[in-house]
Amino acid sequence: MDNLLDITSLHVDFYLDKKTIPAINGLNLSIKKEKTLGIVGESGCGKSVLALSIMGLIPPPGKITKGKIWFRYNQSEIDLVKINFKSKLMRSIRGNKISMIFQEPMTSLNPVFTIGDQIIETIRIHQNVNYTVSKQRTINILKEVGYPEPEKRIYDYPHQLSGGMLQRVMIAMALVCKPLLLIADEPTTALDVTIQAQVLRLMNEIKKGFKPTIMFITHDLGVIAKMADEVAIMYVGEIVELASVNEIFSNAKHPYTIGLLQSIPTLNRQRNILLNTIKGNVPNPGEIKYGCNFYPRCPQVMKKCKNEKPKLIKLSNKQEVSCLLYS
Amino acid sequence: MIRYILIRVTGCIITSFVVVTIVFLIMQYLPGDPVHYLLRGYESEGQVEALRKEFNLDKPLYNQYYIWIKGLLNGNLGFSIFYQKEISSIFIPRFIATIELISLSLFLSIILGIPLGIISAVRVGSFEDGLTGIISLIGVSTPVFVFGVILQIIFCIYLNILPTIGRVSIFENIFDSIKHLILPVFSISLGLLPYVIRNVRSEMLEVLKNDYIRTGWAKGLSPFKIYYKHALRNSLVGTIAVLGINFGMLLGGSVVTELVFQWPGLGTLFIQALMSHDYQLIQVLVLVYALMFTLVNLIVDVIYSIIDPRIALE
Amino acid sequence: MNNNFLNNLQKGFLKRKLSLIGLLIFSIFIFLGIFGPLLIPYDPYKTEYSNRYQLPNNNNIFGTDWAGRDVFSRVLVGAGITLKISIMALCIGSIIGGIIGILIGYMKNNILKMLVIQFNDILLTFPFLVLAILITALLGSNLNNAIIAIGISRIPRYVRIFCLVVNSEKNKKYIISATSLGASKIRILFYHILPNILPIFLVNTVLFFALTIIAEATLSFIGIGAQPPMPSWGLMIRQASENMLVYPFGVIPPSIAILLVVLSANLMADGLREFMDPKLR
Repeated sequence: MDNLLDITSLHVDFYLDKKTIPAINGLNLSIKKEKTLGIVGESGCGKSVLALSIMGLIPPPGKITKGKIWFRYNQSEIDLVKINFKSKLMRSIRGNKISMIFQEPMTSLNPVFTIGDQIIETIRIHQNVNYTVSKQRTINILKEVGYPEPEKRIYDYPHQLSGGMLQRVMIAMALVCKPLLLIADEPTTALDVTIQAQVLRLMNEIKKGFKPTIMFITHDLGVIAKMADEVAIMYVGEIVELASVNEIFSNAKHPYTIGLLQSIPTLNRQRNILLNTIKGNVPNPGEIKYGCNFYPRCPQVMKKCKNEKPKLIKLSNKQEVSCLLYS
Repeated sequence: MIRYILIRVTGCIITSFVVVTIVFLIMQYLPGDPVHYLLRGYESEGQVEALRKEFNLDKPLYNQYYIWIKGLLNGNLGFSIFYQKEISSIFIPRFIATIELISLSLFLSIILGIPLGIISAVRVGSFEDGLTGIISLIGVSTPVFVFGVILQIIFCIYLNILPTIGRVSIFENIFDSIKHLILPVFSISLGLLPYVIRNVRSEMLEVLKNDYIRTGWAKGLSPFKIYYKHALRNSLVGTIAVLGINFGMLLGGSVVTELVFQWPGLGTLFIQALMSHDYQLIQVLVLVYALMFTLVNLIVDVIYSIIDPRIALE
Repeated sequence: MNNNFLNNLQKGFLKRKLSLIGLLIFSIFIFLGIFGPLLIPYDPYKTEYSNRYQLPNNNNIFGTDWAGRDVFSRVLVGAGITLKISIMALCIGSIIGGIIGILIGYMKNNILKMLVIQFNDILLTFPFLVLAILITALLGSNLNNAIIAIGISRIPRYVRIFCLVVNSEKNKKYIISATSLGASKIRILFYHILPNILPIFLVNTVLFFALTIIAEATLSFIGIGAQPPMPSWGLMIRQASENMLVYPFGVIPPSIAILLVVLSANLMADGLREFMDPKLR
């Protein structure tokens, strides 16, 4: 099998104020080796929770209540849900086999240690090498991510660096142990557009380098177009469409995806026409108990959408949709 | 950095001298005469005069002051009227005894306080957290001498396993020495401990909310490394500040505890000197206290800049 | 503005049950402090050497001390003493500290102001006990001087509070507009600025109350505060500890008394602070 990750029937619940909120509601997903899967969705759709589930880092009061996450490496597979997320095994996977980079590089590094120390630390907990070797590897990886003068500047402190530089450090730290899977949770959202372009370019180069599998989370369809091979669109804790990046942009099937694509402003459209939006608001998780989550806002809604819940159906080799229009 | 330290040290010395000068002046104008205290009713006019001459008490103020300062700079701490000895010979062993108490108590408070604070923060709202909170509250609400007295009653009278009072030097007999040290050190620590725990707990709670802690988990760090290396380092500035601010309390606590356990340190010396209006001794002791206090503030500032690189670069 | 403050006081404070317990105990303490002397079963000063070292029994709820005096009566009268001392010391501290603080807050010369504030900050961290011992011993070892010493040691705190608030408020727009409408400085001070101090002042005063009780107990324990035969709690512990070998129980009643009152004050202060903080931030 060339699926690095197979998620089946994932359910993640949050227990707040005596209520149970289903952040992720029966999600199925696979990521193929050496490919980049983009996860697109609005804030609150559960994409970060999905990423944290894989890493075993869901903060309380959240919990994975059902499902399996199969992670395949070295000809074996383990269920990440079954492993105790506090165990040594899970710790040896994080940062080592599966790495994650986050949205805010400015606050994601410890301000009282040098960036060099923080990368060296990552190496030394996972690999049995001494300080000198770690230091050399750190310098090498910093060179690869385009960090200027790494020999001198590994002694820099995070507050001395700009956002773009910090994100490069984060990427270096995530990649230094050559992980099989890299999860990037909106890595460029907090950066200027120009820096964003640089970082994306860097990530594409890295893809050519040692070919990691990447799960790229974002709400920006433009970024997806540049980075992803396959795209999954998430809405309220479920995947509503899964397709190759070409199919998504040229032949989107789910009304939500179509709505998202239509709402992207273009440079050459007329000035005084209102932007397209999807009417209504994103419902809270668990608010809609029966039927399709999208039915209150769907421009192509049918009578049965209110009662029947759609399932992810394969339309072709490159496309799956969860919509009653196609079942 | 070195220049900064030198400036601050000079500042310390100047401040201490200002303090002592003020005390010197106040004492001159207050009722109570060391000579009378010493002679205690056996005096005749002639004897009083003779003694006053011997102790320079008949000379004008500025003269006395000058003599004293000159003596200090030569290492002569003066003469204690009550003890009838050179202050230098009394001073050093007492100083060592007090330093023993203070440093061990500080050490104990830190060793116990930091882990307890961290556990409380990590398991916020749990039974352990609640229990630590209650114990802290009781600790803050009890005067230090009560700790001392209660410990004495439990361990010396009921259980009879530790000596009630006194001190044995480490160089004489290390086991006896420790036996005599345990209760006083614990007393003083119990006074400081709640502040350490509370502070570590609240700082940790803030620090643990930060993104870089999440990064630490994502890197695969063990909980121990995350709490004791990454989180603690960021909480230390606040904790050191609290220790610095409460150093005064540590000093005060040591004075009272010395009284409870009749520990031969600066505290008991100070009280004795005050009771007998032993001017020279009082002056020297106030100077020492002032120096200790300002020096600690200096050390705290220096440690700040070492721990947090952001402060050093300012 | 005051109305809102009281409303919030009720809502936030009362929610925390512990603070309520603190308030309860503290109220009992104040009640006993005032009416204690009317409720005591025995004369706290009457010695009865045939009846020494009694453990709690039907006649003496807390037992008797080394001189045969009823401990319960002594504790009750001690409450009154403690109350009086703390109020007096806090008055000294807050009034003098307040005046100085307001004056500093209004100072024009910024450099001098900064120096004075720095000096005050250094005073804040002074080892209070050493200072108090010094002052009391030099002035004479009695209770009044102890009160003065404790009061003086509270001054830097109050200076800081008043100075901070006056400093930050006096440049605000509403003050400037009030001045332009012709309000006198005094009116501005009392009507506009001081109400802003109320929350911090309240929290700190309750805390200082707790610290003052501990301070007086400590000074009396050392012997330079209350003098025998006054039933000051600190002094009672001292005398009991001197007789520790024969009658260890004697230490307990006054210790618990101090513990309860200071604890209640701390609980109240915590409760007050809990509800103040989100408002002020």
